Amino acid sequence: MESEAKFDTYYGQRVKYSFENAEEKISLENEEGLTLGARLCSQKTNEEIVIGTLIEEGGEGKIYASNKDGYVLKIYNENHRTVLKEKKLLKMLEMKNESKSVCWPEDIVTYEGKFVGFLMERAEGKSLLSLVSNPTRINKRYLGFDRSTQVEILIKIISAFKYLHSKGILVGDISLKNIKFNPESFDIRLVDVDSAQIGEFPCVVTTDGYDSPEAIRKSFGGSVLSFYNENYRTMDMENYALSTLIYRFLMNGYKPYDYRDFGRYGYDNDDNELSLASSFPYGESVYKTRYSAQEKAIWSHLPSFLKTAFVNTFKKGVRYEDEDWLRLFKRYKELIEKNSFKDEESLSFYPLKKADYLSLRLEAMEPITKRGFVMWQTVGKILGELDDTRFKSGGRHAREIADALQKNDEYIIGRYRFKLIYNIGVSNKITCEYVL
Amino acid sequence: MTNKIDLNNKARRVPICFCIDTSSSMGIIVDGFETIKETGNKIYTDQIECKEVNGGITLMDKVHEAIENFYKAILDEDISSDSCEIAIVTFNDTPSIYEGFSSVEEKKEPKFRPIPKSNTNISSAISLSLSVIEERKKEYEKNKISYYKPWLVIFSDGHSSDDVSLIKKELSRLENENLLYVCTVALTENEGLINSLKGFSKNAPIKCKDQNEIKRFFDFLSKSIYLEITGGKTDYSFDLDF
Repeated sequence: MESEAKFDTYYGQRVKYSFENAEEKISLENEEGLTLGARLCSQKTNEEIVIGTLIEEGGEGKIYASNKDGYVLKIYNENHRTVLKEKKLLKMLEMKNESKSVCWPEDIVTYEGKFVGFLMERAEGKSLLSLVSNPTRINKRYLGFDRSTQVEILIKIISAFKYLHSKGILVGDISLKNIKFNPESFDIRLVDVDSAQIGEFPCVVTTDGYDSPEAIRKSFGGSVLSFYNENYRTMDMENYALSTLIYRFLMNGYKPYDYRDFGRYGYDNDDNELSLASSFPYGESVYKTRYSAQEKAIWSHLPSFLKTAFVNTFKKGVRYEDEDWLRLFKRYKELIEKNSFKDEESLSFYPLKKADYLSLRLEAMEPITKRGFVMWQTVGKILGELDDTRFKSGGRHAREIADALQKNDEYIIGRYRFKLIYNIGVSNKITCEYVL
Repeated sequence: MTNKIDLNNKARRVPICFCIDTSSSMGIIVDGFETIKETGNKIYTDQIECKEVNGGITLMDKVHEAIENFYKAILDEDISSDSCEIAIVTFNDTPSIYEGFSSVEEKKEPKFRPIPKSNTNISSAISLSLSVIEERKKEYEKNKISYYKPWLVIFSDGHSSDDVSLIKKELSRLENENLLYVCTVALTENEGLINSLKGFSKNAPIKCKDQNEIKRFFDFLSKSIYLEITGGKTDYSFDLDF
């Protein structure tokens, strides 16, 4: 994609095409011939592309190997090969993808002179679903995968989303299964992006568990899919799905509203997402008892600024944007690199024991100058890093804490314990821990 | 017989019970004829007179190989290996639990022996399979593990020797109430025998007359499981070109 290119956005509007025959099927004389060994034609270069072995089968079509090195073919099934698909692909090809983390369609292929699918780079690796659910298996198969790797993967993912969003594209069908990673480098690629919402073309597929409460609410009486067929998604819906993806990746696949008191076949709380929307179990430290010990343990080790972000998203309806998440995860990465986590378990992707206190320990040092130690400013630095909404009024809280610390070396406010340590070399130090 | 559920693994499970015919007819030679040596004895399989031989590759050997390949395919897919749990019930004159439910990683090598001069008591085998599935479901529920609709896959090559009318009704009820997938695999070319396997499932028996077709069936099964878990497809049509 050229850097200045940006698609028109239709966020939240009713779907309307600038052409009429959207659903018209593109049929072939020799439908059976469109299989292994069939000779297709690349639209851009006119070169011959031969269908290789079947790699994967999905709802809309099949992915095949091709004779073009490093490239695969997506061939649409007869029922999904429509004028709409062709026009959408043409739109997508208007731009050149500059992100290595996005597997973007690169060329249309034709058979009997008609559109049948497209060519894209082969995304090697496994889906991110491989990195959740079963810690025993993950430890065995993906050596070196830990919280630090997880955070780096998330930074790459959010950056890829940010890139597409900057072009006015909404990925739409956001899910762990649509992101692949390389097991050695842990580089990632977004796949299946041909379903994205781009210009006048909506995203009409979804994965259970990622739909925002507002999309479900608006589709009341019908399926959420028919809602997406008739309405363009909004940035808020996209942000919600991205937040859910981040949460599920960090929380071993658990959904934000996952009840643990079910099990029998046929009861899947995806259906009840909306009614559960207010039942996100966590405050920053309060756990509802029905959640499993493992789930609580993972949550307890998250830094407070992430907990706040998740609580705001899933409990208060706030929508964090790609930029916000990127800032939080870059900060998380810095803290890991600075060894700010005292408890080794905090660095595991699956901590088994609940943290006794928030393992995150913030500190700020301030040289004692001729003017003395301006304690409230040092406290203010810590509050800034905490990124907790309760300290939004900044200076007032900083002064309150600083005053308290001058009377007593230790002060607890809410769940935070501040301590003052005098005269470390030529500095004083203030530390802050999170107390459960 | 049933292994404990790994509670650290929070994947939604897919319980699959293989119900495998080990009557004497599964011992017939289907390949490797050049290594056969006749013993001179005659035996009866499902009331048919046969020559006893050493060597060769039996229908059962082919099933072993296909199951091992299936295990490998499941293990190759992380998501499938987390979700898939398998039990095996074998049957001839009487049914028995060869292996209770456990993940594929814990499975032992499949080696079922066709029992000489034995019959095909399919009805009691299916009853046992259903109770094994039911028990596993209870364990999932007790441990708050969610699960997909269970699968019952019946492999047989012959007439049932017992009365199957009641068990067919029960399977039909479970299918209609959307509580079970039932899939019958006919390991024979004989149309009469294939017909006798009709009615255990609302789908027609899948014909697997040779090694390639058995392998294809297991490929289909592993892909179907993967698609179910990843939400790619939920509509199964066994009578199609699987």
